[in-house]
Amino acid sequence: MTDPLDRPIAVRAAGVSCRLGNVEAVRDLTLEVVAGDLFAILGPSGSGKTTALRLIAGFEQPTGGTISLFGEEVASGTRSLPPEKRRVGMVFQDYALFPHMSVAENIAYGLPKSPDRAARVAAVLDLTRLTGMGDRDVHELSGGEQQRVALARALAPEPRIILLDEPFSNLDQSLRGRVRGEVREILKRAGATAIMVTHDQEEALSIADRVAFMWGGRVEQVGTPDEIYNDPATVHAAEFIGDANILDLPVTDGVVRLPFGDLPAPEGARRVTVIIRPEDLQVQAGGVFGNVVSREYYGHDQVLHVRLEESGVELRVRVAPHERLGGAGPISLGLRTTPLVLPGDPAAEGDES
Amino acid sequence: MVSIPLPARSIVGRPRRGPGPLLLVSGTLVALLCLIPPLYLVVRAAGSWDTALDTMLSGSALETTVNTVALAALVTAFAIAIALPMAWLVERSDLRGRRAIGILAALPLAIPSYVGAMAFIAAFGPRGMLQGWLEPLGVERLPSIYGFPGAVLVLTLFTYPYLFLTLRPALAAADPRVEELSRTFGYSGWVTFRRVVLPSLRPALTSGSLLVALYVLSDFGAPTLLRFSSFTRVIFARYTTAFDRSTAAALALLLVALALAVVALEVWARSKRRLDAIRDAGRPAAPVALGKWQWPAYGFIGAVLTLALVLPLGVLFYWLGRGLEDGVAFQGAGSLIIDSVTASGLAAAAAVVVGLPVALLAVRYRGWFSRSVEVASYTGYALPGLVVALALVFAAVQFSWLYQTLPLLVVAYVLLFLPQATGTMRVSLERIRPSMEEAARGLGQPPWRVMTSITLPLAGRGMVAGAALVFLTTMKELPATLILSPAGFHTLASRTWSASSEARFGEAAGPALLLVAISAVALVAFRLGTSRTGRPSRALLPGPEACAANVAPVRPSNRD
Repeated sequence: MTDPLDRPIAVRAAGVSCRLGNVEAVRDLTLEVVAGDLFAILGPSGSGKTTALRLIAGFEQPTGGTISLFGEEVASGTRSLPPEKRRVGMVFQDYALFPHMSVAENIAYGLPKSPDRAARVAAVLDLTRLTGMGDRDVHELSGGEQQRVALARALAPEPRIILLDEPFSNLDQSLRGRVRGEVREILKRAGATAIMVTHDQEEALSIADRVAFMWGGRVEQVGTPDEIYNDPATVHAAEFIGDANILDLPVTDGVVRLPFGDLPAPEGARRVTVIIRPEDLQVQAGGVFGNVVSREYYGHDQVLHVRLEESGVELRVRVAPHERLGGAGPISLGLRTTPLVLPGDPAAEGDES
Repeated sequence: MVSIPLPARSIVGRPRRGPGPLLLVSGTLVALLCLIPPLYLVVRAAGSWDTALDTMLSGSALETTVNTVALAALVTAFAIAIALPMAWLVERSDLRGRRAIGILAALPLAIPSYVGAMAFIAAFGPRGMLQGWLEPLGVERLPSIYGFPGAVLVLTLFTYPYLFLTLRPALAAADPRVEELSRTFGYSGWVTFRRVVLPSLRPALTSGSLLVALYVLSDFGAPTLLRFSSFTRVIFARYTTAFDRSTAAALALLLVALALAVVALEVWARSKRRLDAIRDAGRPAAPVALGKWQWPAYGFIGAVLTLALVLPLGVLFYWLGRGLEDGVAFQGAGSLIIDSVTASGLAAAAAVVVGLPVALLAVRYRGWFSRSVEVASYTGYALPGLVVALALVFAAVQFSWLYQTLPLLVVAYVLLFLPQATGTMRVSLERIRPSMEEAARGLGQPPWRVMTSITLPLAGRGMVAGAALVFLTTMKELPATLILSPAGFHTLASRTWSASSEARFGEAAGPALLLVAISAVALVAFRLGTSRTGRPSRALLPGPEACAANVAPVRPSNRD
């Protein structure tokens, strides 16, 4: 990967594996994070994403592979730099604020004793929009404020990287959107390189510059949010991120037969998985006929369950909220874009993890 | 690298690494120290194995075992019968004055059982106060206070506060929503209590019962004064009169086996229920309106407090008056106090230092190693002070410069009361989430700085509480004090004992009352120390509920 702005690589993980007890939590993790990026590791729980973060922080030791921060090797199978020597800031899911210290004391905790200490605390308070709250007791803060204190504390010693473990999961749904924006803005203003772990796809896609998708301890795909969404590399990625109709179909004479027409199959595949996003289907004249079986209404849009007349296949179709469809006989469906075709069958792949 | 015990799962379910070398070494040392007394017993008994075996299999040993088991079982049952309703009334009912009752009901803890026994003998014994008053009315014989019923009565009255103090936070921390849910299923308040509240109290009941049962097994003063042949009385008699240490050691081994059985029972009962993630009870349960039931409630509380507080204090003051008349009440009180406070203060400080690795291991690194250290740390607590003292006398034969020195006495106290310190420290350590320490590491602090700036300050209250608890119990300690005190070193406890065992109650009452007063101050300070932040005062006693009750989570709220 070459960065157009020629920024250095902040984090490089090469073939990192980590065993926790009897669980191979992370296998062959390979990642590069460019300095200044907000990088998200996205995956379901148990996918190894938090372990990956803790490996970078130094709270876990890899059983194989190497991790480097700005070119300095901090962990290998034989040697691991302790967390306090890595200059990495961590924001925990539960914030882990020190309850016996005030806001300012929490923030100053990681700073060396020097005359500039108070000034730095004040600067970080400003940066995180906590000006004037330094004397508060951490118990008195709201959830969003506690989170900003945790972020301020992590930023204060000017770490090389900030690591955030599910930073928004302790916040009310209604607050999350706003806090997400704030956090991104704070990180960008600080010029920090940040890696965030989350199981919330919307969170990852909306604020990250790049996203790594993890499944079963492995990184299955790394890319920009739109690459991840529009061009999922694996069935897991397609299923986990966004909504998808997943069809497992045989290959005959090098082509896959869809109700909407034939698609070329990947070389040598005997079965393929076809992925059609509900929004990639549309109601159009001259398409394939189907009957609306049920409807999920979301307000900003609606999803129709349509059973195709000829093949009996049931598809989810996203349409605009004001469309009134389904009452009067079959509707006709077509594709907006060519669907994605991946080799193999999803059930077989699912068994492996 | 050092071999590491199996990684255990922390509260968040993430496997954690084993303890570091410092904890491994200190944990091992503490465990070894704690194992000195049982080792001595085995060595002594094995020294003349035939005699020991004869002793253990003799009919009198069986009788002593039955006596001791019956005493412990009955006292524990009666203590539950007193403590459970009392704790419920204080925490869950609308009884007026329940705050004061909550303090008063814990106060019998400040009266050592031998002082209580002495008071009951002085009041109800042959030629005691009661008979003296009744004689003119023609009553010549009272039911004897000596023997089994007297021992059960006295020990129950002065040990139930252990259960009361463990049950209170458990009742306070119970999530009222669970009970409300049960009510929505149509269960009555009583059925709900039996099926929902009581099971949730089980861990508190088990740990409180453990405290009471072990206290009864180890108690030397009350059974001896009340002439009930439980193990401690028989062993002491063998040791002092027969000068035959191997039979004393053989009987002590039986007692140790008994105590271990009790501990095993508790560990088993506790392991059946995992400590849930620390929950936030949200709001406290609405108090239950007692209505006309408040009168029986007051009657019950009044009866208990009369027997456990008013009567012993009344008797002590009566004899204090007699002692003042005779001019013997406060002979040498100043030096008695200095000696007592010195020994107890040193023991409290030492117990906290020694207990810290045990507590850290138990909270952070569950596994066979931590479990072994924890079980080892219980041995001294389970052993009668008498046996620990004998063991150290034996050890001091090898190191004669230690014999009858203050350090040896302090070691004995630490061995005896270590679990009290570890228990309270465990509770406060459980409040510290691992992520706080990791955050500190991530902020550039080496492990030792994390310990001094995060772990210890947060555990501080637990350490103070643990020290206070050890101080309190050490003040009252009798058999080890009798056997191991340096020459000329007299504590309030040993003076009380020597005077009251010779029926010189006028001499005993003064030191006994001082002892009660100091213990009461320590008890109150200990309870206040746990509520400095203005949160409701809850006892910091061992047990997961106390933990749940003492969490001060930095919890997210939605105020912005």
